[in-house]
Amino acid sequence: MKPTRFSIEEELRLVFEMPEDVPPPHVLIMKEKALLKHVEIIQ
Amino acid sequence: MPAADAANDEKARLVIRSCRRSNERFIQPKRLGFNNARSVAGASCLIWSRADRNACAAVIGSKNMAIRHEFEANSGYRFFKDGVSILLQAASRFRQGTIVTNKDLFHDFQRINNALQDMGAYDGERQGVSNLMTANHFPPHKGREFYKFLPERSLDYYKEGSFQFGSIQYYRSVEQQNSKDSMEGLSNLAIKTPRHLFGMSLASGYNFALFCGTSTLSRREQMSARFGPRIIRIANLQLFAQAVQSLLGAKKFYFNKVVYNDLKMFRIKTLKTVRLSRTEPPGNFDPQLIDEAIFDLLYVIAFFQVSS
Repeated sequence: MKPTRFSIEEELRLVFEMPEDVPPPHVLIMKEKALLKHVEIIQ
Repeated sequence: MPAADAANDEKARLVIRSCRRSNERFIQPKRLGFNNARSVAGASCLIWSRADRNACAAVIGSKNMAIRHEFEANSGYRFFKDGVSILLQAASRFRQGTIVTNKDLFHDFQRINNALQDMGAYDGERQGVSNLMTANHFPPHKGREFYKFLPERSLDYYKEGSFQFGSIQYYRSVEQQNSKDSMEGLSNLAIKTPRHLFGMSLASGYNFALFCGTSTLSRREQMSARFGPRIIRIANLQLFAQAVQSLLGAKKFYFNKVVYNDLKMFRIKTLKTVRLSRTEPPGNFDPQLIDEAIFDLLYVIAFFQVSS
């Protein structure tokens, strides 16, 4: 269950508007190592 | 199945129709409690319920501007435009000149959504206090940092440069209970036109790909317990989003704070003409009356509840 105990001040959502509905299984998986330069593992 | 008519009920006239192609059936007005409801204020309401066959479909409009629709059993009418869909689950029209307060709307939409849950359209959850909302409730997030809590296995995927973006439909049905939100993408719109007030309950967001996280680590232990012990940080969300947009071929991207609500309601005004039925007083719902202008109106308003 999505939780009321989640802090609404903290939770963020990055949303991409696609030109068409996302087909089943309703996920887009993208493999692109160039994106790793934006990502830092902190734990 | 013959069409039933609840027009004798002065407080709520439930417009009921049958569709021979799909054997649509509609819930009875008493199940909504409309016949006892003071707040309904003369609403004509229809909710689509079971069907013995899967779908009826039609295309309206010109070749280039077609709005296509399909009936989905126990869900409603799905309208398509250029590969994007919205699902209209219930629609109503209030009597002309009726004063409808926000409290009235809340009670009406609550009953309609209870009926939708009863018929299995979605599983209800307690998510937070319901308020009437506007676009002002969803200011763009101005921060740049973004944190995501992950299980160990997911971190391995990220290390390989593999990123997953789920649609609204994905999060409504995902198996991981901590991530699931069966009310994702649902909204209730009170639409004031020059002549009437309409109520519409719909699901949308099927063309949105989501990436969820947090803006701080202030609840680190709690979040780790729920979503996993590993944490990644995206230092500049804008640059990351631009890169992903290009790779995915997305039209736009947005980042907003998330708002949870038991019953998301929006009240809007439009000069557009909205019609649900070709007869007066309203009779059978005609899905072909949901034209491109109405589709665009519903899509834009629904965006707020999808993006936040």
